[in-house]
Parts: sequence; structure tokens; C-alpha cells
Amino acid sequence: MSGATSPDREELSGEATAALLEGLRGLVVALSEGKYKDASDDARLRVGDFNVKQALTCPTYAAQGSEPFQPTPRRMRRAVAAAALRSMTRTPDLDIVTAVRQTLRERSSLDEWVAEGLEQVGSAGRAVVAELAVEDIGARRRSLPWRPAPSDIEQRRHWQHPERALRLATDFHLQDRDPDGTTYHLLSRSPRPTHETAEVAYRATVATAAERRSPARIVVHYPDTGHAPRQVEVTTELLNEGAQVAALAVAVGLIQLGLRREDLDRRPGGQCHRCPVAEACGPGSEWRAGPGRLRGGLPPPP
Amino acid sequence: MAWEPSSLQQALDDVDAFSHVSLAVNFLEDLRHRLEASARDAVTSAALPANAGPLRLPKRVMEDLLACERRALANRHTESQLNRELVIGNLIDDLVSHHVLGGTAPDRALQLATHLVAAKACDDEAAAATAAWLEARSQAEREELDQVVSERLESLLKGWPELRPWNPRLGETVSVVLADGDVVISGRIDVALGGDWCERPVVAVEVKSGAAREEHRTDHLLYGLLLALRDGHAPAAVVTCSGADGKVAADLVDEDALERATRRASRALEIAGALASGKTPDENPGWRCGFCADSHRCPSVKR
Repeated sequence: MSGATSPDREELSGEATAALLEGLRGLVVALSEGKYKDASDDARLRVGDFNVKQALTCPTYAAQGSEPFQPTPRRMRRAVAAAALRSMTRTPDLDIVTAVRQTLRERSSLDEWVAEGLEQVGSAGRAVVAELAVEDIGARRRSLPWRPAPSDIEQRRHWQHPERALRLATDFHLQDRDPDGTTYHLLSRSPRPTHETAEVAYRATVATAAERRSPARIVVHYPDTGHAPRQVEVTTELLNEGAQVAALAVAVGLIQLGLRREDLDRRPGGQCHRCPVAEACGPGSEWRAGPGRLRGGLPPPP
Repeated sequence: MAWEPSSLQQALDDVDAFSHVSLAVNFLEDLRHRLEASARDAVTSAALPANAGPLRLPKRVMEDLLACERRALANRHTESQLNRELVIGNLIDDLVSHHVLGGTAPDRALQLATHLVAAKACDDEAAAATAAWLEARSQAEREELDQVVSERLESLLKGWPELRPWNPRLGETVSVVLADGDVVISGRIDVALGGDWCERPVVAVEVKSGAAREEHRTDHLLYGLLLALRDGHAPAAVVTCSGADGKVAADLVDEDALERATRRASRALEIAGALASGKTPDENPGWRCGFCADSHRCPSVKR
């Protein structure tokens, strides 16, 4: 279904929320059981794009646990790049290096966790953030419109389950609002990642449930390869797929929290080299013993 | 066209003064088709199962495939292949980035580089390996390393202009995806300069911490090819800066350069396909043996 009109988009929003609630029904119970049952807004389980990517790669590997969140340079790069890019759109003559340095020095435009993280990592860490942010801005400028409204750069959408114990979030690099609806833009480093459609579906579903209106479309850009952008129309099918993806990521999150025991799919791949349960995993062992053991497709030396 | 400017400043001045190289109509499309054909042949030879993932060929592996097939496989399968020269290269890369971003010149280069590597190590496996290697050095080794790194950095950066007007990007990734995603050739440009947004020609700067050999220049033309295929027009030049002797080498990215880079990439794809299908790798001993993870057991090693 393409070219949905405004009322259609509101209708789709109802469908997306219903699909999410249905997909998550059995899972959210686990979050509300036991001692945990408070009315605060602080969700016990938060699922974001990274968790979704991990769950899609191999749910069993993803369920092995996640390390406590640390504000590393790689995690802070995107926020710093977005803030610097906003400065560049306000001050057209500002060069990329100066914009990033100003952002790191002033930090007033950054979220609290980023500002604190930049303090924690010290001057060498900030230098690394600067390097990564400069590259990030380069990628955005290769693909996205050059002079968007600063407020459209970097958009987060989140949806909280009525039980309040679960929050789903997604981030977009840019939004573009027009009478036809909102178009969200994303950067992807590779044009055919295995789970791109599923990831986009998750993003579309969360954005739709959060905004109570489906986006007009999601456009995926490929700054590293120069491929033509991929436009994904938001349809009922996509939103249903997104709800299923969200349910998978939540199931993985529940196992990480020790609130659920379940055998999840095993999807062998590069992560098998680092997986703590690879030895006991049939598909993983097979993959490591077969041509899948190859690094980048090349066999080991004789 | 290749030339040896006296400095990076001179190289950029020269590039700015050249008129833009225009390519024949469909020239890049023709190159892409040829690479596509080579990639499909490689995939057919390799006969990898569906879940094996693509043949991933970063520039470093492409170079190895052309230089010594055995080394290409050995270095791909060894987790840690660090030695002194490679660590110096990693440290110099970080220090150059720091310089480009306007960092102040360090009194002790190694100290700053160690801090930069440590800051990266939390989410970068290669940096973590470099940090561990540095940690294991004695005080005397560190002092010697500090001197070498400081000297090479000074030699390298001599004649570097203020790059801000060129909107420098550090570690810009560029890749070409072929054969429906079954082959990915990629490169990471040390310093990418210019572009439409600052109305200057695009220049890829490659930093060599050691001496730049003639074959390095040829290898670096792959950046020109990847950028041309990504952007739909060729960059102006690839410039190689060497820390060992401070020399600068520049290559204009014209049709001849792109043609050579395509021929080499096609040849590397052919080799990759053959190796993936089980061909016994050829050995080609030379100066690269010193950087090979298999040198301790290779019968052809050159010591």
C-alpha cells in the first residue's frame, strides 16, 4: 500500500499499536511479575535499535548477556556529530573540524549522558570522539540534504507499553516533514545487510505507535557505497513485521534479565567466533567447521 | 600522471591548479561492469554456501592477494599479528588524526598516542591489541619507540598546511558492493579532503609511517577507483605521505590510473575466488615476509 493519506496514517497507527500490544502480551507479563511493579516511568526493559540488530543477527547469541552501558567514544559519536551538524546548518561558513571542536568544548547542546561521558573519557577520549564525529558528519553530508532545519537532525521516537515496564526506542538521522507526512532518513553502511527490512519495520512500528500516525516513508541511504537510496513505504504488513521484530528483541531482553528461559533461534555467522555457547550449538559448530569458518570468504593457510 | 611534490601543501596547491580531469562518457560504468564480471566469476569459483557471508576484501587484503597469496590467507586468520612496525603505523595514524583535528603538538608523542589508543580500546579490538602490545614493552623499549614515533611524525607532518578549509574527514570508509552483495571491496582513507561542500577537489591522503614504495602508490590507486565508483566522478588525486623520509608522492586519478586500479582489482578477485575454492596459495617471498603471520613456517620465507 503506497501513498497513504493522512486518515490512513492514523488508521495505521491504531494497527501498529494493536500489533505491538498483541505481540508483546505474553512477554510483558514477565516484566510486571514478582517484586517489580512500580508506577514510575523508568522502564525496566529498554529496547533500542542496537538490541534489535543483535537479536536479528542471532537471538541466542544476543541473549548471552549485555555489558552494562558505558559512554564509549563510539557510542557518543552520533550525538556529537548531530550537535555539530546543527551548528553547521545555523552557521554555513563553519567548517567540520571547528564545529566538532566547539561542540566538544561547549557541550551545552548535548544530552546529559553525553556531556557526562565526555568528561569521563578525558581529553584523549574526546579526541577520539572528535575523529569519529568528523567521519560521521562526512557520511551524513554525502547522503542527506545539506541544510535541513537544525531541529530535524537526529530524531528519537519511543513508545512506552501501558504497563510502563517496557520502552521501545528508535533513532533516525533526519526527519523531513511536509504535507504528505513525515519522511525519516537513515544511514546504512552497507546496501544489503541481511536484516535491513526487518530493522526498518521495527523503526516504522515504533515511530508509528509513538507519533500516533504512520510516517509517509523511511528512506535508507548508503553513504559508503553511493547506492541509490531505498524508499520503504509504511504498510500494514511492514508494521506487523515490526511488531514481531520488537517481540523478538523483548524476548531476548527478558532472557538477559533472567526473567525468561526459552530456546531461541540460532543463526550462525561471524558472531559464532565470539559466542560463549558456540561449542554447544549445533548450527554454530557446523558453521565454524564448514566454509562458514572462513574469514571474509578466504580459507586458512595450508 | 604521477609527480613528487615537495610537501602536502605543494601537492594540494598543484591539484587545485590542475583543471578537473574529465572521463569519457560511460567510462566508470565500463569499469564497474568489468569488476562486476570478475566478482561473479570469483563467487562462482568459490562456491561458498549461502550462509558463509560475502567475500570481504578490504584494501589490505587486496594488496596481500596480489603480493603473496600465502600471506593473504595467513594474515586473515591470525588474531594478533602485531609487530613493532605495525604498532608504529597505528600510533602514527592516531597522531595524524589528532593533528588534523587541531590538537597541539605533543612533547612526548608516544605518551599521547598511548592515551589515544587506550581511549579507543574500549570499543575497538585493534586498538585494544595495540594497547596490550604497548603495555608489554619495557621502559627502554618505550623510550626508543617514543624517539622513532616522534621523528617520523615530525618528518611526516612537515609541510602539512592547515587542512580545515579542505573539510578533512578521518577514516572515511568507501566500498563497492558487487555480485548482488556477495563481494565487498572496501577501503578506509586516512584523510579525505575536499568535495562539493567546500568547493575544492577531492583528494585522498594516505599516511605511511614507514617508507612509501612504488608499489604502495599503485595500491593506493584503489582508493581513487572506489571513490570514483561511489561518487560517480573521479577524485582529483591520491597523495601518499611517508613518515620514514618525509617524501610525498601524488597521483592524478585519470583514466589511466583508474584503468590500472581496475585491472589489479580484477586480478585480486580472480585470486580470491581461486583460493576460496581450495587452490594452494602461491608464495612470493619479499620484504613483506617481515609482516607475515606465517613467516615462522613458510618454506619460502625471505629473512
